[in-house]
Amino acid sequence: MSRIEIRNLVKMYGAHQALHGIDISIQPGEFCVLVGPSGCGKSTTLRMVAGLETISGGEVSIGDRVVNGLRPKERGIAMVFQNYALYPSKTVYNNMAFSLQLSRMPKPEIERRVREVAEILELTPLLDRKPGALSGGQRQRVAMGRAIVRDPKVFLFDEPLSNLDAKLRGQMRAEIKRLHQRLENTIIYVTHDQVEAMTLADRIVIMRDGRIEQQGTPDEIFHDPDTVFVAGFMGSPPMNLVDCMVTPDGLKLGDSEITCATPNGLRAGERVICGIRPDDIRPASDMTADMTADTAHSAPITVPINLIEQLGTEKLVHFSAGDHEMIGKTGGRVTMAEGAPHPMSFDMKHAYFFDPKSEKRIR
Amino acid sequence: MADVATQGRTINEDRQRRWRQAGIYIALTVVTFIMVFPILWMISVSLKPTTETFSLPPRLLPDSFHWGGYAKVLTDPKFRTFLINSYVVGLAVTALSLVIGTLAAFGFSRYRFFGDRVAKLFVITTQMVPTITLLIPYFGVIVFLGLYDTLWGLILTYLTFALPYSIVMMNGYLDTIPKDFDEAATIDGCTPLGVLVRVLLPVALPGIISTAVYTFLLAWNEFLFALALTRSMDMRTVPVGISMMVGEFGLKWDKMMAFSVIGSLPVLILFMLVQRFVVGGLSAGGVKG
Repeated sequence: MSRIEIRNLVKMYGAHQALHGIDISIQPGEFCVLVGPSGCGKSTTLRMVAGLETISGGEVSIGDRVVNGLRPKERGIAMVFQNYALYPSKTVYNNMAFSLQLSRMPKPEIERRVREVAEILELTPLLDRKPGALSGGQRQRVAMGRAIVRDPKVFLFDEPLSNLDAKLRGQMRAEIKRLHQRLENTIIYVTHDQVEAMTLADRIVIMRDGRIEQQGTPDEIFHDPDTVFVAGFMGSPPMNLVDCMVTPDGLKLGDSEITCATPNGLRAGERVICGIRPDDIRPASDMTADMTADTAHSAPITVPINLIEQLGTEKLVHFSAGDHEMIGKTGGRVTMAEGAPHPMSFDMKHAYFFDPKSEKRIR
Repeated sequence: MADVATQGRTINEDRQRRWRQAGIYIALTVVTFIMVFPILWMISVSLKPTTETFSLPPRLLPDSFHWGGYAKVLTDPKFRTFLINSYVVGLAVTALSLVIGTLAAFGFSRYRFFGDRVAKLFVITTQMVPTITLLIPYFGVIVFLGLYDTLWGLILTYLTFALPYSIVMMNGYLDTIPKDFDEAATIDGCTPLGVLVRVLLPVALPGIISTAVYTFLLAWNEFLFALALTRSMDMRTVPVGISMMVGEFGLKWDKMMAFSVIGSLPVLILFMLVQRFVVGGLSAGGVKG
């Protein structure tokens, strides 16, 4: 277990600056997920920690050593790649043993370690096979096995599940989580999948255009977003973000007025971006007596229902409010008609307000 | 009715397809015959006495097999020397061009450096010069280096011909191997050379084989420079040796063809064994290079 300190990390590709001073402090044993859209710099950050990219500025420390000038093998890391990168000409055993063979470890010790890890990952029957004869999930496990046998201080995962189908991805996600609980190593994990980020992470770092937008626990990121980007990025379906005008009693959304409390600094007539998750917008008919009594719930506004998506246990209700397309939710058994107007109720207790210019949260 | 019409159309399409296939097979048979006939004729002549070579009507199969040509060639130490020279030159050129070519291709494929594109283009443009125009300059250089009438002179000359092909073919092949392997091996503790030798080369084996075969054939078949850059019988190679059997007043066809068979068979066998890789290697280079 090692602590990782990333201080003011900068990456230049010629004149183009890919990373603008990244600061992350990862505690020993912490599972840190870097998440963000394509091109945000998450993989570049990981590769700089791994030593696969040169560092243009700043510092990376693993444990108590600054590793900027060290070669990858000297950093005490192991990495799992998106495409697994298993050596096709070597058997599973030799793939896993390769790094140990290079470090001139005695053969019996190599054999012991490989077999022990193979046992954990249920790879023992596959040790003599070549990667070409394995399924996607098995290859993924071999890639993890190859990393684990080295007993590294830090594991680096670069979108390791993105080549798997949805079902297998779910299984492997749980396996990685279990593995972390068992090994307790420090992990940096890169993904663009927010479900992976939410389920695996102790800490999520959201990146955008080479900068950190926000970092915190999954709860903090999801329930307390700092910016419009974070609010819109985390959550599926995404948070509804609508441009509203502040009124003395709440907000004007299209032609309708929603009665709610707004942050203290806002004055009537100001523009504001209001964010509200689909879970917090429900048909008025779903409201229980408790909810109706809750003053945070706005009086229902009647909106045209454009589309209803059946997800099984729940339905997504797409509707229009003024010029805005919004999504609400209801139970899977609730009957609603597309095309007809329907009263929808907003739980404004969980609404977020953002400045339209800076896109920062107004608290 | 519609069913009958559909059925009729299907039968017509089936018939057309069969005709097309028959046409393809006939064309392939003709082309194969054109390619294979000289080889069959070479073997046939090598097994006939010289008097029967041009008997009319010509016959592919002789009345009786005459092994005299082979006996003469195999018992003549001169021809053994030609064969040994060809093997030494071919194998040395192949080994050197593989080592140097693979290292250069690795550099071109995996590293970006100042002038890399120009250098790569230069490698390719060296092949645009007609070889015969290089004969006199090469002769001068080889004499200057004191390598005239030595196998090293031939090896060096053929190496300059073979290297651009080796570099381009190996570069094309290495480009098809994802860089993730390099990175995984680097993290596992390999040096850049270790990455090439331990990880990339086993994956690139088909490319190496195709490059090796191509290079070997190039050196084995070359005639003009072998003739110009060597003088003594001790330094002659197989193609020059065969040409030396053409006398002023006659040709020893059985001996010449027997030597041709002995000279070609190893190459033919080698090519047949690895042709799968050769085709794969050439197409990899063609697509990516």
